[in-house]
Amino acid sequence: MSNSSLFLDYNSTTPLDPEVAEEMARRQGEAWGNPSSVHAEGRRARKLLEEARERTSTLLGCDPGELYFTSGGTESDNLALKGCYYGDPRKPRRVAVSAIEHSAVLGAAEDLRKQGADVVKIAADSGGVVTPQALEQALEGGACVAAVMATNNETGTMQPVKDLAAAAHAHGARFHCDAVQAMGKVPVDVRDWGVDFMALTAHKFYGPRGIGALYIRRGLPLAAQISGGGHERNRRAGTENVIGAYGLALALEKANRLRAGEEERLRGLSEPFIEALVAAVAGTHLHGDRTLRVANTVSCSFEGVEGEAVVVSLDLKGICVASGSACSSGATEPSHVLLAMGVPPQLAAGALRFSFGRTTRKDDLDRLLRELGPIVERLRSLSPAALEHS
Amino acid sequence: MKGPVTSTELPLVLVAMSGGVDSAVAAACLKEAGYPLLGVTMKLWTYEQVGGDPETREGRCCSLDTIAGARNSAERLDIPFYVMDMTEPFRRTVIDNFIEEYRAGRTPNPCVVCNNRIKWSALYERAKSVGAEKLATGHYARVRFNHDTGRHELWKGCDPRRDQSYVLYGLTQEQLSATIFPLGELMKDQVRAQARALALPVADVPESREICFITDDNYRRFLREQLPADDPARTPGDVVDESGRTVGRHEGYADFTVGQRRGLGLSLGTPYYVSSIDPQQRVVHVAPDRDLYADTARVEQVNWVSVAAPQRPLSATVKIRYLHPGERAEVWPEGDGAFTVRFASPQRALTPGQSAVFYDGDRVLGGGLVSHPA
Repeated sequence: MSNSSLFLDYNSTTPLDPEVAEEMARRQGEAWGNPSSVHAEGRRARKLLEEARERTSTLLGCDPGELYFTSGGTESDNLALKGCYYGDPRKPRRVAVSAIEHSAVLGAAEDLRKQGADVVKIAADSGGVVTPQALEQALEGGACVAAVMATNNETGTMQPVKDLAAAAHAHGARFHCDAVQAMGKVPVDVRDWGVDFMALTAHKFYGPRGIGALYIRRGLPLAAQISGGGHERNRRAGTENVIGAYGLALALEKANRLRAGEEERLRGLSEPFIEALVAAVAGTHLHGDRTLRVANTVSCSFEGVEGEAVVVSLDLKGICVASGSACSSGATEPSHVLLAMGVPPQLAAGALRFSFGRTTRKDDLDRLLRELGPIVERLRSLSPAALEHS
Repeated sequence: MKGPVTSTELPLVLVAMSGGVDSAVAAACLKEAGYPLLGVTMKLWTYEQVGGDPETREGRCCSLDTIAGARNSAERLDIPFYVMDMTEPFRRTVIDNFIEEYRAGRTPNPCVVCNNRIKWSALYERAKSVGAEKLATGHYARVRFNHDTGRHELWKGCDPRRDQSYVLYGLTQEQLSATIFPLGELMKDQVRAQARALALPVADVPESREICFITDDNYRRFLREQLPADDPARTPGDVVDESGRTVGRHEGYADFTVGQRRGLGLSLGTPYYVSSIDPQQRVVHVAPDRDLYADTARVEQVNWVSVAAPQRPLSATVKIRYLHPGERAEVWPEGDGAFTVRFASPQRALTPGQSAVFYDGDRVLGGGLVSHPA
């Protein structure tokens, strides 16, 4: 039995693509100057930064002037929500966020709530979908901004972004889309989607860590959340991560190039995997609407089994998977996403997420299946609840 | 990424890591001995739950700092490390019990409860659930197998100043059989030296001796926050002296423990101490020091850890609190599961709710909870 490390947690992060790394290294010499400097070295760095912006914006379907580099998804989400809220005080002091958002969006909304904003949650249905009807319900009485992600990090469920954006606009609200998990998995076009803000981060699509971006539709008022110099056209102060931005552009180009093929390949792996899993392990519950699932993500619970114990047991066998959402200390708590979908708390506490990537092969999923069966069996034979009540 | 578990004769061990030096060295000892290991820090409570001054929080057990300390030690030892959330069972068993005991006019020892109900219960279950057969901690105590009796025995740790067997008397045979105390034979100085030799990041972490979830060491503040305002334990009542005379008022009997002098606000000429607490009448009884001595104690919920429950009286050295030196005594079975301890000489401030632990030399025979005097 092989104990070599098997990574099946690509929704948490991805390794830097070697080609991207190589190209970043090749052009590092042009990138080290400060783009704000007047002199030649600064201009050279500025040129590379703007090249990155242009190449990235082409891929997203926006103008370079609408794309702002940040440190990553969390910063982009915070900038969108808070920047929009504080940037347009005439708008209603209400913010609507979906119940299945990433903690970056929920945390930003919570900050705004503490500053007096009325925060409303947009409900998700049992399939993990936020419908335009649910959004409209939440927007009765208006809002400054509504936020719904493009694809969910835990369930992999794709959201009807285009219809949601239209519904938000019909109620006079701006629309922010956290597309962090969507890049490289679904076609993304900000004009087609009609979003006002959109967040992304490079390390989810085989780019470098510490660089992300926020699309801000031209002409929207926005209050900067980091003050200092006039970087990023006064919307995000701080010396630019030039080589990171270039890496983001390269990684996104490659991800878009591979997207259709990878989608098909991973669909071909994950659908039979789901069938085999359900057949092999009794009491398996799948989470999320199966027809709206991105090909790389499988979320499930095994009745009577704690997710954490499975994750640790698999880790001890060299297999990396995720359970419910991780909190700051690393302890796992029942996923707010699954709870919002109406999954019973006991089942939500047992949730596991398998997320596949470019190097995932059928052999890997066969190995996962082989290891899972005995682990689930052992855990069920122990029924830990018994002793906890002693 | 952590090294995979290598195939070996030795069983997989879950080592409970608190972020302190002891458990880190315990893990190091097991690693050295060749055991496949996983390190676990339990998240037992949250600051939102237990309150306290934020400035006193740094470095407390369960803070992000101490979890990071445990994680760093595990990294250094190259063992897989996990944080496991036990806040719910901890609240249900340890914290609720702590509050209930004070409401009942007793003075609990939450570490005893935590060992029985969390570490060797909920955590031990998690160990089994991930395939670990043994549980190890950094306690200064020893487990020995007695071939004559066929029983696993609990013994004091070799460092007399660090011995923690007092808080472990509640373990069962099954629990003891699955337990490893790697520090049992070591002196604290050796443990610190080994931590430095291994460059463990926790080598110089100061030790915690107070109650982990009372972050400011102010249990009165904790109880005030946890108990409803109209709880009897928070309601003013009389302070009554040994002659039955009311000599003062108190703001709630939960503020007091037997033997305490502070906070009574009495000026009776001679020093007076709490002699007992009557939760029904909300009366705090006080007496001069000489009246605090008693030569018997009733002990309930007794667990005989190393020996079978005795049917006849038995001689032992009995400790009535963690730092008590121990006193010669006879332990008499009462037939109802409780035991009466008759001390060779009267003991000061026998405190209901504290544990009385029976020793035969360095071997722990058993122990239980001191009850209210009849």
